[in-house]
Amino acid sequence: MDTDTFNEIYDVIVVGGGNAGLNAAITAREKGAKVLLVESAPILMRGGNSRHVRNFRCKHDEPKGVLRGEYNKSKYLEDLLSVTNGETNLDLAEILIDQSEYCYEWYVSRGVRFQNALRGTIQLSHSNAFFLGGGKALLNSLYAYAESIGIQFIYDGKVEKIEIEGLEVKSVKVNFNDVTKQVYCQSVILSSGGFQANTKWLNDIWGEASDHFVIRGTPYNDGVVLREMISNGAATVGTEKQCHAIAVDARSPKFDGGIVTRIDCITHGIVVNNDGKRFYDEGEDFWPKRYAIWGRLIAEQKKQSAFVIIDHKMIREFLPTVLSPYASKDIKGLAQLMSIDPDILNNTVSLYNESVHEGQFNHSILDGCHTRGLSPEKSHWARRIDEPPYYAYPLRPGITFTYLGLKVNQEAQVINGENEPFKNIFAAGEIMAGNVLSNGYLAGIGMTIGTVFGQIAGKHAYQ
Amino acid sequence: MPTSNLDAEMSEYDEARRVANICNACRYCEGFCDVFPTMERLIDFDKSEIKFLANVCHDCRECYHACQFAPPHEYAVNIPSVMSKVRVSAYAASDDRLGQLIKLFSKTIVCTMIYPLIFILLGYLSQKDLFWESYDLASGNFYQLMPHENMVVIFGTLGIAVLLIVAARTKSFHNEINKKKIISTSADIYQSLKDAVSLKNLKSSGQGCTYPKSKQSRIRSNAHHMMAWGFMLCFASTSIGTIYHYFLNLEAPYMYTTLPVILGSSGGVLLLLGCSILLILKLYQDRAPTDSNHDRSSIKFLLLLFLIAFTGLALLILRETVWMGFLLYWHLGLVFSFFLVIPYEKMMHVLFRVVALINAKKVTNES
Repeated sequence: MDTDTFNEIYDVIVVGGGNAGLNAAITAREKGAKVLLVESAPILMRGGNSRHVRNFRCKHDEPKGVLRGEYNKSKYLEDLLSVTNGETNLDLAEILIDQSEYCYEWYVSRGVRFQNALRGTIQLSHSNAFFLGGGKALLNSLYAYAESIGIQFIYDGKVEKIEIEGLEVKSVKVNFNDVTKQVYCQSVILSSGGFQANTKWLNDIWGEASDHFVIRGTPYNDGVVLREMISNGAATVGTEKQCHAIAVDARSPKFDGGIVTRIDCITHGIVVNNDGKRFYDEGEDFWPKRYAIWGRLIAEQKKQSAFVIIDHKMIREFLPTVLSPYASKDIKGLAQLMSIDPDILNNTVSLYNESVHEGQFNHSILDGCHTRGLSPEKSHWARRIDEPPYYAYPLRPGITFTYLGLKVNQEAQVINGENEPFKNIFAAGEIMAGNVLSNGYLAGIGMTIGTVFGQIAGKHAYQ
Repeated sequence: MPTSNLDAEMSEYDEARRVANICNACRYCEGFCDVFPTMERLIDFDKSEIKFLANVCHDCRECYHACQFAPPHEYAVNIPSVMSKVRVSAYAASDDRLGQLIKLFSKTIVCTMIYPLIFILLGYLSQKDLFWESYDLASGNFYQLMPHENMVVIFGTLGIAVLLIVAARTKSFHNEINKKKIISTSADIYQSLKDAVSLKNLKSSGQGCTYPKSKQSRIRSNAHHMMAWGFMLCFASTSIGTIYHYFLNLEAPYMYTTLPVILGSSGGVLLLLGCSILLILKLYQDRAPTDSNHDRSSIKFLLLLFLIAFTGLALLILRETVWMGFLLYWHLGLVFSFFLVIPYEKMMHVLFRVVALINAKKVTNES
């Protein structure tokens, strides 16, 4: 960035340099626009939550590149409707799915590299294309390309205000090095993500409970731009309270732990709260279908804390964890490490063990191992916890993203409360994902929303 | 002294284990190289497993730039740096007394300057009359300055000793990392040798590696090819020279059009180019994914090869001038240094890596 960066007038200013912002900026620049991208993170931490992604979901009628088999429109739509319980803007969903078909080539021709589905995720190899090296590698490729075609960047730049007259933006105010500058532009694309890293905002909604939340993604998604647009009269989708949250290791960093902090053995053991009591059926359904309910379940417990307990025969049955579990040769010793009353925990485990009807354990099917006469029951994969050493992982809710977002139309224009579009304000990515993904989650669809609506926004922002 | 060494060694293995646990829970880098698919099949990350993984790593640095947990993230994952650290300590083998002794006598400055000077000095003192004479190829007085028997005694003995140490070390490295004592198939061995020679792991997606900076480039693998093939050509030249001498009764010096000279001079030029490029890249590289000890060992190795090639070529060009004696002893002094650093430094990467790649094939084929 040179000193004149702030003094020029831009055709398009893109706010937020994750995948959506880069798609938007590149599309606009390739049409000839003079583009400035303002990223709030420093260069080494750039890219928002795209840093942590690993693939995107795309329609394809035949195998191509690293994509196997076919994943057609009706299957895609069916999957989307199933996770959202049918609550989606169908027009936008169809645009998303139709356009997703062209994203693979778009990426490849701009230097992005792909790899075969990762080991253990073979079920995604028909629907999702994996970025070689993951999201940060994708960002590196896109940033390198964006730079090569002359997009200008500001890192560490905080957009504080979107200056609107009527239904038109005239300029944005960017704070850089503690000085606020006004930058003029023809249009603005907002791709600054959700607000899950804004601890104050979370505290307003959740109270003290939010102190115990782990934020899985970037600390830079503070939702300032989202709130600014809401106060400018933009219509919203989703509620403030909605968030995607899973069970993560309680010893994880407060921010940015990404994918490695998750604990994947809940179906393999039992989960108890701080009182040493179970509170939900750990074996209700397959893990990929249930992992996203555990964030909320743990958030409802005292101190937003819980523990999953397994025994020695299960320790190698799931994806390895970053930190070692607590371990003890007996349950009472384990309880002490967990700071739980040893007698109560011992009682919970004994009661569970007595109720187990063990069949042929098989984690890849809804097997016949279950409990009888317990409240709550464990419906599948129930095996006695009787083989020392015993292990426990401490759990906390880990928030992936928030659903509250800006309402948009088919051209990715932001809509106000009277259902009128802001003429030159567009939104792409997590900040508007709620239009399509009202709740639930489908692996890799967040990236597809960013890619498709980023390109749509980039296209309409400069004409 | 031994305790502090042990501590330092423990800490890099601990660090590698910490980082490997994070990688194993993430797995995004699976497509870059053989390190990650291998790592996923290991569990304990004990010393021998870490040593094994470190020697599969070719230091391409793709994973460093792709890593969401690389510094300044608090996890500070830096695979290339910690793997380099482990590798160089595996070459050095701090528990090996002979290794420690040799290390004491093979500092960079000693190898590149002192030994060559000693050789030149001894050469001058032993052959004062002949040292500054110009030589006539046809007269066949080449060996008057350094009798062939002396060369054979010095370098033959040293060579055999080095060969024995290297063989023993390679075998013990193999035993250490092949914990399950699996026998390799010939197909595995062939494929691993092919991967090693082609530097497959140094160009993950065909576009080269992220070296010296974050952009993919083939310059490093190309320069390495020049150096390695240059080295092989020089080795072939020496071997053919030996055959000429003992079996065909053809004594050095050889004419420009003979096989030893053609192989040796083309090898020398390639070595010179390859080493120069690799050394220059070291100046421009990103410091973050490096390990300074490993770099020092590499630089010593590259400098020696560069100087050997340089003096060898100079010797060829100026062998009929008064510089012949000086250049011959300079060259031989450097070759002596090179022999000295072979068994406990960077040169070991050739064998350790091949052994590690063969083992990686076994581990990944198993499940």
